[in-house]
Amino acid sequence: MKAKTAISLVVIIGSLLAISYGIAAQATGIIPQTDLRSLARFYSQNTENLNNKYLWAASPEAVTAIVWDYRGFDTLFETSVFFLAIIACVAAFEVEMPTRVKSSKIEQRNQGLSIIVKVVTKIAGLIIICVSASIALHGQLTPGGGFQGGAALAVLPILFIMAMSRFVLEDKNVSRNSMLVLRSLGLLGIGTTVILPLIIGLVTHNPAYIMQNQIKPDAAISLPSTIFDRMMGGSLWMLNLSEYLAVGAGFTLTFILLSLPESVFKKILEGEKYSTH
Amino acid sequence: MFETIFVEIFLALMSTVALIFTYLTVVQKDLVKAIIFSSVESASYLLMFYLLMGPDLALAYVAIGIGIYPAVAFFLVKKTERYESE
Repeated sequence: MKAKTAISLVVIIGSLLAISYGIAAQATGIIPQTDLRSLARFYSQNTENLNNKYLWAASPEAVTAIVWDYRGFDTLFETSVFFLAIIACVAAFEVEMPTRVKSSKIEQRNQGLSIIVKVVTKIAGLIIICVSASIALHGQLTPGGGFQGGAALAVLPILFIMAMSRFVLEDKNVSRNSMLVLRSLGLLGIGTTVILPLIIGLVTHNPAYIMQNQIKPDAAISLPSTIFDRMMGGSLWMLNLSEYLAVGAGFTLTFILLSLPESVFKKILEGEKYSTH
Repeated sequence: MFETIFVEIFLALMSTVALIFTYLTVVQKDLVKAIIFSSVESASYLLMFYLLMGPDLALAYVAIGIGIYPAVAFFLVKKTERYESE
C-alpha cells in the first residue's frame, strides 16, 4: 500500500513538473522575453527622456511613473476603493474600545510570549520601519512605492500584537483614533497633490490639468522634478509618501480592530438582546 | 542560454511547489497548518514574480502574501475553531 502511494506520488509530481516545464519553456517562448512590446518601448523610452519633456514623468522607474502619472486615475480610484473597505471595517467594528486593566511592571513583563521573542520582535520592528520607509520614499528611483511600503509597514503591528499584546501598541499611541487621524492625513495628502497643479495654475494664471505632474504642450505647469540634485519625480514622491502613511495606518487600524477580544462583542450582543425586550 | 534554461527550470519547479502546497492547503484539517502551507505557496509565487522581472509585484506580494494575509487568517482561526470538523 505504501509503495503504491509513493509510486503514484512520484508519477503525479513528475508529470506536473513536465507539464509546467513545457508551459514555461515552449508555450510562451523564452522567459523572460528579451524584446520589448511597442507599449513597453514607449514607456521605457519616455519616462526619463530629457529631450522631450512633454512626455516624460521625471522618474527613471517606469512602473511608478505608469502607476502614479501616466495611469494615475486608475491608482486614485483603486486607493478610494481600498479606503472605502477600511471605512466599512471601522463602521462594522463600531464598539467602545476596552480600557486597560492597570497592571504592575512585573505583570506586564510576563504578558505575551517569551523575552527572546519580544527582543527579536523589537529588532525586527526597527528593520521593518527602515525597509518600508526606503521602499516607499525611493519609489520614484527603485522598484516599490507607497502601497508596497505601507503593506510592509503594516507587518509591524501584527508582530507586536502577536508577540506582546495590543495594549503595548496603545502605550505607544498606536490606537484606533491616532491611526484614523494618520490615515486621513495620508488621504488629504493624496487629495492635495492631485489638485496642487490647479491651485498653482490659478495663482500663476496658467491652464492646468488635475493630477498633472510635468509640463504638457498646453499646460505649462510642472512640479519640481529635482530637489537638491535628487530625482524626486514631481508629484510621484508626494503621492508615494501620502499613500505610504494612508496604507500603513489603514492596515494597522484593521489589525487593532481585529485583535479585539470576543468578550467585547458578546457584551454588545447581550446588550442588544436586553434592550429590544 | 544557460541562464534561460536555469530560469525555466526554476519557474517550473516553483509552480509545481505552489500546486503541491495548494493541494495540501485544501486537504489539511488543521487550519493553522493550512494557513502556513498557503503562505509557502505565496512564497513560491513571490520567487516566480521576481524571476519574471516584476520586482514591484514581488514587493507587494512579500508583504501581503507572507505577512498580512496569514495574520488575518490567524485572527479568524483564533476567533472560530482550529480544526475543521467532518
